[in-house]
Amino acid sequence: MNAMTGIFKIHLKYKNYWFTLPWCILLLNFSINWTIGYFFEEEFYTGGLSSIYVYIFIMGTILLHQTFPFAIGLSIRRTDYYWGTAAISVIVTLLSSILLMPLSIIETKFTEGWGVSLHYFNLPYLSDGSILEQMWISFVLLLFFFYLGFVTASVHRRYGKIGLLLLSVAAFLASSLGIFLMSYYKWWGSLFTSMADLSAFQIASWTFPITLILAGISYLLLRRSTV
Amino acid sequence: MQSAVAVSNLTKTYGKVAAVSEVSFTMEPNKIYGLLGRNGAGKTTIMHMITAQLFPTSGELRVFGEAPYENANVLSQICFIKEGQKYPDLFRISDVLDVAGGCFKNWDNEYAYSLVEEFRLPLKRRMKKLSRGMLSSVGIIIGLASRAPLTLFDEPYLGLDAVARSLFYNRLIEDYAEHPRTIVLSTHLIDEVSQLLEHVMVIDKGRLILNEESEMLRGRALTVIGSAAAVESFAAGKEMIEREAFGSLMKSTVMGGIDEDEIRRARALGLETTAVSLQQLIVHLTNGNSERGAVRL
Amino acid sequence: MTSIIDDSRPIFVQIAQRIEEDIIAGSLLEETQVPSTNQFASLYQINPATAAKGVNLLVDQGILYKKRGIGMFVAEGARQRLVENRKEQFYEQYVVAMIQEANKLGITAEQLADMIRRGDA
Repeated sequence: MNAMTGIFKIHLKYKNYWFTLPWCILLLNFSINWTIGYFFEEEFYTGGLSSIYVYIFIMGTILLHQTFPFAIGLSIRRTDYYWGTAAISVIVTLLSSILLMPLSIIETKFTEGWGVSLHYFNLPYLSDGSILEQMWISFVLLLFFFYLGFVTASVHRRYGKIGLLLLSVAAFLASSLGIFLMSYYKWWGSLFTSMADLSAFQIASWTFPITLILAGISYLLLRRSTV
Repeated sequence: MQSAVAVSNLTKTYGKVAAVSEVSFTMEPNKIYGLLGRNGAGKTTIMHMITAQLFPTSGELRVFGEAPYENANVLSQICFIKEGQKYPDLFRISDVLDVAGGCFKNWDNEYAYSLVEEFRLPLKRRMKKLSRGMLSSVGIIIGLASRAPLTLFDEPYLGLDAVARSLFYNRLIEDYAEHPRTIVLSTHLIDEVSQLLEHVMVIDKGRLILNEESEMLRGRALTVIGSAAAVESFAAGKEMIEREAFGSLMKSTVMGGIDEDEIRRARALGLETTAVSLQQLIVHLTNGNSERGAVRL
Repeated sequence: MTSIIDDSRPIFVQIAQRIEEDIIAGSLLEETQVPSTNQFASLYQINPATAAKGVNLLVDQGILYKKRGIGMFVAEGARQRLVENRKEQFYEQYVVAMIQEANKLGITAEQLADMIRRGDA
């Protein structure tokens, strides 16, 4: 028997939570926005698409809490748990980004904003670039948000509530210090100019190495986690 | 022969508190072990370390000859059923059994489902809606049907009534007879399981104080009641593990060199004698007012 | 749990005695098969290794013998030997104790014999 069988079986039980539920939420969110767009005369831009990113972030945090103690209890290796979960998360985010693409095309090319001038799946700046570039943007962003949630849960698993609290305090202090320094040295202007030169594709690509680092951190944390 | 579990000087400390200190023992394959002791004695911590769910502070630990931590070869042979096992909220009993079937290579699905019938479990009910007793039954079913070469049960029957507990003992004995494996039963309900155990280990305050074949312990201690003088005379040269005086009467439990001749001698001294059950023996050994080291027999 | 097993002696001794009882009482005949150790184990809810130890005790004494691949059988002449042993034990356990008690109460050997005859009637 393959060492991964157990962990894949666990995740397959979660197929509705990996797939059906986020797309239902997205659909509901979309229909609300469409209704608003229907009564709204002008072009209507909405950030409703972010719900899928928020969802995958929450999925990252809850999943570990729900499945890790169970998996370890069934003698699944931490390493196998980690790689099994990583494989599923990549498959799901990849599929989601592939699914988002045709919706964006329908919105712009065929329906003129779903008949009500609604900009939901295709947003200015974010949806610049080729089809492949757009898919890459949603893929790396989804993966980034998943691992952001997953690493948070890993810190909680490894160091408990206090560890998580200390981490948030540290993150808050670091960002405050960063903002202070940026203001003190008047760096904001140059930051925005250089940001403006970057495309969404370039910025999204920058999250990828960060995602890899987060994934590596959660691996190291889970290897030393107990239940 | 390769031992199933071998630990030496196993220690787990939390800050300055030692949950387990300097514990050494080996478990031979295909025997039923009882890991006994009071709540909080360190039994659960030891089992967590054997199954690599918790990391020892120091000491050596080998399961089937290898270190268990992240060792697929070893972990695939272990099934640890613990009292506080968490299950995913949305999982039903059938989901849990399905996943367990994917984790243990000797898993017998037909047997698992026959046990579900016997324990009268609602297959489609979610784990978080189960009663304490039902949760225990699910654990018992996984532990039996996994047929893992090393199966550990930590207080497996909380919330179960006498009928269900008896069912567990019967199925355990039957299945063990057909598929011998190393089984560790941790419990404080000693009287109920003492007949099932081939070997007994008693943990007290994080230390191993008794490590003996259970048959060797039967009849090794004797409680005598009678006049204080007669009791004292009988107990001379034996280890007294309990003494209680009621006026001129005295009740005492003694250990060491108890045989039929000694029992006859006690009766000749006018003493009433009662056999000491394993549970009573362990209660005496772990009742806290004696700072004993390893027990001498 | 089953209280057939008591705490005063090792279980394997009690299992061996139980089989002896059955042979003496004639419910286990010579050259018939005795239950397997696993059957004893489930019957009394005891560890199979302990049941095996009890059976082996009787094998060592020649009361039971093993037929390869079939199981344990009661040996020829087993009942006779057990009864002899029991008579010896009967004398030690009952007769000696009875005479001691009788002496304590001042019962003469003649009176004792009378009592036995009366009890037997």
